[in-house]
Amino acid sequence: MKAWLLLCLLALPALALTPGDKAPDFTLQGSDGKSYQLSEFTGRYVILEWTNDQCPFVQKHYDSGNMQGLQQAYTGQGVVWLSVISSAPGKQGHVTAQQANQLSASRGAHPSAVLFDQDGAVGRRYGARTTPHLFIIDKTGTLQYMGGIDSIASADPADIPKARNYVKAAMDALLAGKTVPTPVSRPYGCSVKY
Amino acid sequence: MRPALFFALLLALLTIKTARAEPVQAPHIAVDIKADVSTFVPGQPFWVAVNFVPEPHWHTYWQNPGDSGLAPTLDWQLPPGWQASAIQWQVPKAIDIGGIVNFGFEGPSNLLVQLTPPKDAQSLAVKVKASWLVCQQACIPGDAMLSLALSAGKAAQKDNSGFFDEARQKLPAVLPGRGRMELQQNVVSYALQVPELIGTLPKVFVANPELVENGAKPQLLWQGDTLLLSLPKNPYFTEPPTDPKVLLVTPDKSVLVTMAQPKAPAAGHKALWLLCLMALAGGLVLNIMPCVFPVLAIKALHLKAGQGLQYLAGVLVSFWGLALALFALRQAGEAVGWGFHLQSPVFVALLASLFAFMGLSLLTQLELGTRLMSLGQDRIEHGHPLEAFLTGVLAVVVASPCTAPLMAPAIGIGLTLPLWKLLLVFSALGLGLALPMVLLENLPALRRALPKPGLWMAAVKKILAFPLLLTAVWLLWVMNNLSGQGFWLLAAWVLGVGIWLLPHRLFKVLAWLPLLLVALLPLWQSADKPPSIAFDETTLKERLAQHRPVLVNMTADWCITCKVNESTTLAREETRALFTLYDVTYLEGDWTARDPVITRYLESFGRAGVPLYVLYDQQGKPHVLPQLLTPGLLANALKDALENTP
Repeated sequence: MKAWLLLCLLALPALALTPGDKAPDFTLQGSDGKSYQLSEFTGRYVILEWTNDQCPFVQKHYDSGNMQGLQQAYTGQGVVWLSVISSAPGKQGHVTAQQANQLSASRGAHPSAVLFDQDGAVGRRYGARTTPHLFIIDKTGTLQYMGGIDSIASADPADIPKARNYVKAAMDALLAGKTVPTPVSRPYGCSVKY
Repeated sequence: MRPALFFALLLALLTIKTARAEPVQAPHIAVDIKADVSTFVPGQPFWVAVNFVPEPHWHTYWQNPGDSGLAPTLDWQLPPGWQASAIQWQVPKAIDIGGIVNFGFEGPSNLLVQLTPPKDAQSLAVKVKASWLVCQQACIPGDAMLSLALSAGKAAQKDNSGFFDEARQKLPAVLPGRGRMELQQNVVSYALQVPELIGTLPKVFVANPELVENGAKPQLLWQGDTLLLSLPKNPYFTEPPTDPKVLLVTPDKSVLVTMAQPKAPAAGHKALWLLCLMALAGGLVLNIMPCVFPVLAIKALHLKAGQGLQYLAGVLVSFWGLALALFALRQAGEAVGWGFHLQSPVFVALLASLFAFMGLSLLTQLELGTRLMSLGQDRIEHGHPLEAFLTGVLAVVVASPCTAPLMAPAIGIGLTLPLWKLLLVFSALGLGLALPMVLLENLPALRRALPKPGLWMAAVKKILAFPLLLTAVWLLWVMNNLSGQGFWLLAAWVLGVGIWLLPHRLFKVLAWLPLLLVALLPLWQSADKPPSIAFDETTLKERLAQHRPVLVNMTADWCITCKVNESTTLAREETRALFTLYDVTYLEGDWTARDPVITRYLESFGRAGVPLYVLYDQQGKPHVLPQLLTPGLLANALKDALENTP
């Protein structure tokens, strides 16, 4: 046990996660007032989506319906979709539970839950840098994908049809029992407002 | 008014209006386009700047925007035949927001592009779609169609000169092909040949996004004129960049280094004659470099006829020796170039002393060190060929810390060629260096043109002393950066001169003693590395059976990361003290020549290459250490693994 702890310590400079790592467990409050723990979802696929409704890159994928489409498609197949807000109080994108619920309703979003990470601990543990920034965790709790939503780093919705959607590619591969074709991609967008 | 004339006037008015287009006002930023000409000449390139002026505290991004953000883009809409260069980026700054590190520009910045119109280009409105992201806490993307009316003419009409002078000053100097990049499992390392910055610790900006950890502090190490640096790999790294570039910034200089193309030998093969020509020119220019000119000038004034060929032979033989040494080191996998000996404090100390004594002897007219200065002098006059030969050797020795234009690329490419071609390049270099003296000595007409020796020479000698002394000071500084002993060398000089002036013949000999001691100091220091034992499996098993901790270091001479780690961490005094404290046996495996035993060992840890650091605790349990070591990290690792073990 001590050795494992030590190895973790030694790995500190390379603290950043990589696909194949165990996804760090966490417990966060949801906008529905319930508490969510990642390890409760063992046996199901989990998608973590870092978000900030004021960020133009997030707006690109919500105003076009791209994000909602993914949420609907995969939650419909039993996948857990958790939208995480790491904006600190007073910073851009910080919202109350009520505002978060209103946002989901007005945008037609379909996450399984919207989670608050006010102190940024979970965001920093996962190395979430941008909004949007996506992580896919498999049924055994292993990280399978991390990075951007697609291949064209821009705020222009016209690029969405031209881009390769990495989240869709990864999820479809996993659901078909195949390996993820692109397990890492560049996350692009606004910085997370820790 | 005739309608045609009216329209012509209207068109002219409109053109004037667009030529001085107002900046586009977008949310939180003003965007403008400018050219450094109002009338361009077809076929001749000119500069265009897209100028961003964000509101205070808002910023735009560099080509590597960092952890978030987005680099601006320019989409040119030019008629066929026109060419737009890649964006020339000015030097950015790091912007750290809550641990998320970005690279960009707070305040006004420019994207500079060179446009080349075709030979038959007409007047036109240059059009470009600029897209950007401007951020403070919030981020606002924007784009605009910018256009600028320019007329074609016979002569270029300059415009905005002040603006472009200032904008170009912010661009880094580009040093093409001067670097080498190495990708390890978790580390990216570079070897950058930048004598321009020697001894400084520059800020490092990696131009390729998602390659290195953006916020990380680089490990820096000078080896001669080459800066070795290592950075942790970015967690979002996916594939090696096609055009790796590193920007180095010191308070007064900035350089953008691109990597050497691995295909360079083929390119060099084509133009061997050109390389030789460059080397010849470089050699000629060497004659007037501050380190060489004073020495040769004095020699030229004392000349006797007919010794030119012996002198040339001395130069050539020395250069061949250098070429062979460089070639041998290259074969051994060392990344060396011209000036490689400057990485040895011993050489630097000797060179600095040589320059200091030559300078002092010129300045004081004292006998002090004149033997060194006149190495070969007395007997050239007496016509001894060996002494002319030695003058040639001296010329190469004093030239060695200098580089002339054209020389560096010639030698750089030459070093990638087969030995006979390398020798040819160095011969051309030697011929260039020797040519002025050879001509002087063998052409009576030229010799007659030289001023007759006289009293005026004393004044000239004093003037010529200064470049020599400056070179000595520069070398002193280099030595200080290499080993921190520049001060001791200076002290030895002063002490030496003091002893020399004492009135007894014995003191003339004793004066050299302090200098000798300082020259030996680095030798003693380099012997000060942690006592390592060459790795072999038996020794490892033996120590583990005795329940003694072992640190295994798998390294190779060509591994930049390994060298950086060894110099910044493993060879340090604190580390040695820790090894003693914890009774750690330090085993070093040298994989420079691929050793099957080491390969097997590496494979047992799932590695295909070096460096690999494995720490065995008293129970014999291996702990793999990260590939990028720091003294603190190693100290913690030793403490955690070896203390309080049950």
